[in-house]
Amino acid sequence: MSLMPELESQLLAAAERQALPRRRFRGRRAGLALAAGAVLVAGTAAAVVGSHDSSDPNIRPYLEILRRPITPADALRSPGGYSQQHTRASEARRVHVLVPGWKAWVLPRKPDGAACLAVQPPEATGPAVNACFEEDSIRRGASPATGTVQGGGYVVQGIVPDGVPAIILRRRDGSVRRTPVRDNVYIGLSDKQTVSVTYDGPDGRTSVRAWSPGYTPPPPRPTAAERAQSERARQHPSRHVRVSVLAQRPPPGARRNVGPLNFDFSVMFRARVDYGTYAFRLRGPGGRACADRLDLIVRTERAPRSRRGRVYSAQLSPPDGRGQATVSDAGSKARWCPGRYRVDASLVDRGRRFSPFGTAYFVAR
Amino acid sequence: MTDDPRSDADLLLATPHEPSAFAEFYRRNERAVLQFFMSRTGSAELSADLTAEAFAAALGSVGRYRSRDEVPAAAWLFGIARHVLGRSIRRARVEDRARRSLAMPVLELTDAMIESIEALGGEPATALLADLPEEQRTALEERVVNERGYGDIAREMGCSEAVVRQRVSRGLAKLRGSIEGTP
Repeated sequence: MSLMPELESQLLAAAERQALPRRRFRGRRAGLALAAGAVLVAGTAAAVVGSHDSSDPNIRPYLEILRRPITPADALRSPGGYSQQHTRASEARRVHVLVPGWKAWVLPRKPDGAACLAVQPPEATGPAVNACFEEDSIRRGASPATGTVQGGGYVVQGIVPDGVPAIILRRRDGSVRRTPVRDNVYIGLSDKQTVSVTYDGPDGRTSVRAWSPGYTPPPPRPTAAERAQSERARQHPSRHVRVSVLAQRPPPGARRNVGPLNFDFSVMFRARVDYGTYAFRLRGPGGRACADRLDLIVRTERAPRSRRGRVYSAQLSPPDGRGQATVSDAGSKARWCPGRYRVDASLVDRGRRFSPFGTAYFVAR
Repeated sequence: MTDDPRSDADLLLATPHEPSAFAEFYRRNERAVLQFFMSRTGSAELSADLTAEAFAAALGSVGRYRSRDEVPAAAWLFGIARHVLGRSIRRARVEDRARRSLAMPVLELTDAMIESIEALGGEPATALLADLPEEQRTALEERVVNERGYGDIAREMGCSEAVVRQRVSRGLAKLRGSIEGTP
């Protein structure tokens, strides 16, 4: 067992990439010498790399993509935080998406085997699991995942059962658009907000709501001078920046956090660098009012919209212990509880967490 | 430890056509290289980056490794590690040329990993040298720590170069065994 398994797998992948040209070369030579050699090479390329299938057996009859063998071409490398913990990346099947530049995979969720859809837009650094579908929702239709597209536009994506060739996307202005389905998956891009997705499935016509969120255009790209300022600021990652924490009550009916409180807490500061990645150490009050003393470190993803000088905001969530998609779910049993909390904010660069550049305290009542 | 009976040199020679051999080579030598960097930098995160670069550089030049040169694989690896450290010190930043050429992403370290690496630093490799037989310890110190040539050491110790190489190789193998908790 190595101390840095990630480095081990990176080296193995790099060694495999290095070995590939030689293998191909040998394959061509063998193909010239023996006609049967070509068959052998083709057989190797389509080799099944996994036969174990933990997807829900009740789902497989509906999804052809989960019934086909896993091949090397299906490999899903370095899935993001949630999918790494809660899905089986080794059993992912690559989807032949019809949208240029977009990549998608279908993979089983742990432990129930629901079919999850991982999507990687062109500008993303890696795939993210946006929605998981259980048997009932695949048959009757589940709310698809919606979002906005960097640069402008809206996206709707989901999984549908076998035999559905296309979905009908209804937009806010009343117009409709037909989007084809490939490998049980559709990804619909639209320049207008979406309202619903309709298709004819095994249980008849299905129509589900697909409200796309409001859209905020990205800030302009930094100029050369601004980029230089940002790079200079990176040389002093721990220079003090004022950090504050804001409590917000969620909308009525939406209870998003865990514990006796119903508040969202956001940490805010002015970013000193472009596209920063940050780590927040969150320490709770402990004591009898709390099930466990909260002390965890939350790392954010690289923020593609974050610019130097603009306010950076990240929501603080306690670990929920229910396996949900919170970046702070570190396995602790701690919950929000009344008392004084401390947040240390640090810049993360090249995987290294620097000393905090700012600290904030807030009181949860 | 794994049951792969091949030597480090055999693993390096097998790497171009069997990529998993390099993963085994990495597993065997990871701790020793991390300790090497920990003893010189004292920083777990820096050591992790330097270790990644050293192994990437080793992978990048594995095609040039020849066992007939009679350079033990571990000594070859530590030579690369020293070179990576030297370049990083000269440039005042961690070298990443080899990782970039292999398209390896930046290594993300968890706090648990950092703690494990820091724990290695508490057991410096130099302390383990004391357990080696005297001739192996002297050969290893002169070759690896003081970076002297084999001929030089052989003249001083009154033996052939081949004997010095053998002592260095056996000493490194024993050190690795001590670090990994195997005999």
